[in-house]
Amino acid sequence: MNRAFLRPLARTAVLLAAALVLAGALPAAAAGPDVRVKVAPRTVRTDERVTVTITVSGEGATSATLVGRPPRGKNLLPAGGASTSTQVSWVNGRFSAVKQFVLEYLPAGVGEGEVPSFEIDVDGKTVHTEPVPVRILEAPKAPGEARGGGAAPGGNDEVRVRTVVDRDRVWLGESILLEYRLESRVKIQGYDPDHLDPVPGFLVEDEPVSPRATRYTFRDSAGREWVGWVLFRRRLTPTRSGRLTIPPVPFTVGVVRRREDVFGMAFGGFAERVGLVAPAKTIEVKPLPEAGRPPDFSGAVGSFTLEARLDRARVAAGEAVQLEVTVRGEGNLSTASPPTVTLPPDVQAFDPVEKRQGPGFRTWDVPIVPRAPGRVQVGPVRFAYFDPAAGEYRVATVPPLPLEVTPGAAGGAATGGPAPVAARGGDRLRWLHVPDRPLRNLERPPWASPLLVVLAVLPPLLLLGATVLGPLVSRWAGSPAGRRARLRAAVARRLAAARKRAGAAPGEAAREVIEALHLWAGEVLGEPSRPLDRTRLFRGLAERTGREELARRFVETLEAAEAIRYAGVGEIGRVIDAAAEITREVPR
Amino acid sequence: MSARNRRRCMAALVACLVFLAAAAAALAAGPDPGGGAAALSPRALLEQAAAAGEAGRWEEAERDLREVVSRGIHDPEAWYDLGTVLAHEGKYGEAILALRRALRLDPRHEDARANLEWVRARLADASEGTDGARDLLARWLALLPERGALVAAIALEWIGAALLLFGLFRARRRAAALRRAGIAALVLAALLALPPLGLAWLRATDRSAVVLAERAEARSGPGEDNPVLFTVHEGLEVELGRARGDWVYVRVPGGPAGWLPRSALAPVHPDGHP
Repeated sequence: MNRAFLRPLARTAVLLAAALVLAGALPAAAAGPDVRVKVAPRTVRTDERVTVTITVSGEGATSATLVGRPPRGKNLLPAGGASTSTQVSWVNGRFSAVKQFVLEYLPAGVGEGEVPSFEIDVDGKTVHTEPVPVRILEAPKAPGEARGGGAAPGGNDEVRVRTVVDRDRVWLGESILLEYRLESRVKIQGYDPDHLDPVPGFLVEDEPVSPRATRYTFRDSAGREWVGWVLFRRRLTPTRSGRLTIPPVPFTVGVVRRREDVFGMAFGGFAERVGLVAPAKTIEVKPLPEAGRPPDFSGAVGSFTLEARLDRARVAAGEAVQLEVTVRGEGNLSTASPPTVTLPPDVQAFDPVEKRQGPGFRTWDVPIVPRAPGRVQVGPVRFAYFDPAAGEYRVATVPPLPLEVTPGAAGGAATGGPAPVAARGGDRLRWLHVPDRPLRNLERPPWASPLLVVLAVLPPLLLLGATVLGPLVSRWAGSPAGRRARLRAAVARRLAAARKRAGAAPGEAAREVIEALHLWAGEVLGEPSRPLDRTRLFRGLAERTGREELARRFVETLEAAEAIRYAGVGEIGRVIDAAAEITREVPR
Repeated sequence: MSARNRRRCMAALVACLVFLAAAAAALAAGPDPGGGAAALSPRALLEQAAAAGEAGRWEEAERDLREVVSRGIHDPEAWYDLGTVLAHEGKYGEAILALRRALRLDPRHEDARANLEWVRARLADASEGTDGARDLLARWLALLPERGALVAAIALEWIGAALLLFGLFRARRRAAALRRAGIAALVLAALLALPPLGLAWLRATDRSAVVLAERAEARSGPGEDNPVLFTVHEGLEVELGRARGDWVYVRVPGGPAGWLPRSALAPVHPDGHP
């Protein structure tokens, strides 16, 4: 064969083959993205899941993305996010790219369901999938399963999520407390999601809650022990009346189940992710009554108290003073308007500024500027609210606060001195005192005064002394020494009396001397001396004292005294001296 | 009764009266000096403060009243006036402190109580006060005039002691009756002395304080590096606990407890810092 003839032929064949290859490959490359949705199973029980697989193939498939979070479907809730996978292949000379999104949906009701439409972005081009209908059947109840648990799909006799509200009939604006509680009989590893969506028809305030701190246990009707945790706590305030529904919320919970061998013995466990749905709740919201609605009612519903204070009691005209107003209580304070303040014409108030807000209270500062000097009343301050417990409107009020306004720097005309701010009674300060008595230092305790202590302590000391010394004194008084002392004292008293009367009544003075002498003699003799005649008296004294001279002097003095007493003869002074000298001799 | 016994009774009576007069003088001895050439007397200062208050010159009134109490005259009326003036000035923390001091000295001072409630109603922190049970007891103990009860108690003590002494040493017909009367007088004296002594004890053991700082943070320990437990504001009344350095452990009545800087507080008892 002629080579010259074959060369062009071979060249043509190669070009033709290449053209054929290109002709086969180009349509594939030029084709647009192909998006298909596969749903399995199409008939599902409430305790099963629906798997949705979205397959994107064709040009730009590798860059395809699912727009937004997986949407809810009719009676179907997304359990977590989508998982993706990409496959690129060259088969039979054809380039092929496929990307898959796999999502799981949990049944949230019984009957007709629908997998929603998905929005897919492929190289800037948006593709919407068609919704896919599914049929949802009631799952058979396990024996002993708690009723009303609410964990319809995925909720079983081991783990469930409950939706708990503190009330299901409220007034418009009245807050309710919503909790999602996870209850389980198996070990829990974790849960999704970590945050919740807004609730249509409600203002939502999420309260921080630590599930670990809220752990509780209980037993069901079959006697099985459950452990529960509060996963989320929200305060919902309805924004419209009627029957509002808190939609169901899907949860994915990681649980650890025990593994048992063929003999029923536990030997470890295995982790599993379980899809659960917290059931929907319907709240009946009653509209607030029109009757009795205060004109300044701003929508606060609850039970509140009102406090107000001025940061100063005195201010110069033209300067600002802050009126701090605080509303405290239970209710939807977050949407409440500031309280209203009634002011005199020459006082200007500016817009309130929120100062603090916390659980159960809100504080505003109201800048107030008095324009003229004098004494003004700031207030009353009012806060109108609806009390759901009583079912009627109420107004919390703070009485007017006095404010002293002095002439300003610009030279406001004085008004002849302000009237006293403080007056007795009412909600005002009481007036200053000027006591009629001298001022005292009451801080000093009574026991700080030494004189007082002495005065208080002395009587008991005296009593104590008398109690202790009394018996000693009595014993001493009965002893010879005591008797002598008593005798001396008695004789001395008689002689002193005699001297006192010697000038005016010598007879009486002599009687005292005679008594003194007989007292002395009786003590010396040991018997009464008065009945004794002179001779026996002389002998007795001489014998007892051993001194005749003393006995003689005694008798002579006694006779001299008797002479003065009965005859008025003699000198009483000398007799008294003689008696004193005799009685100084102490009998043994 | 013989002439001699009558004389003895008279002597004892005179002695009692002399002691009573001395006791009354000791109790009434106050630091109201009547004023010197350079300074006004406390009473004159009080009158001057009242006049300034009447004219709305609160700073002037405050200065006069502070002068009175700085002289060591802890009279309830002086503290009451100072607290009222401070309340007018909007110094609520110091006003509460002064009014609490007035009530501490005179638990039945109703105007001080009313003004204290007025101020409490205007505080940032809702305050129940620290004076619940103690206040009730103090008000009950203050039913009798404090000084009069003490003088009467001492008088009865002396009379009782005298009667007992007579009864002990005069072993005659009426000795037993004298002893009984003496014991009764001593018991009555003890009963009369209880309220003033109880009040003095309550004053001496008062552990309450008032927050004077506009805002203070209570911490879990005595130091800035400890975490903040809660925040208190001016005028809050707290109970004092132990102290460590510049920090004091306080308890909010019916509420939490924590450590506050000593400088943020003032004790109701003038010497009451732990």
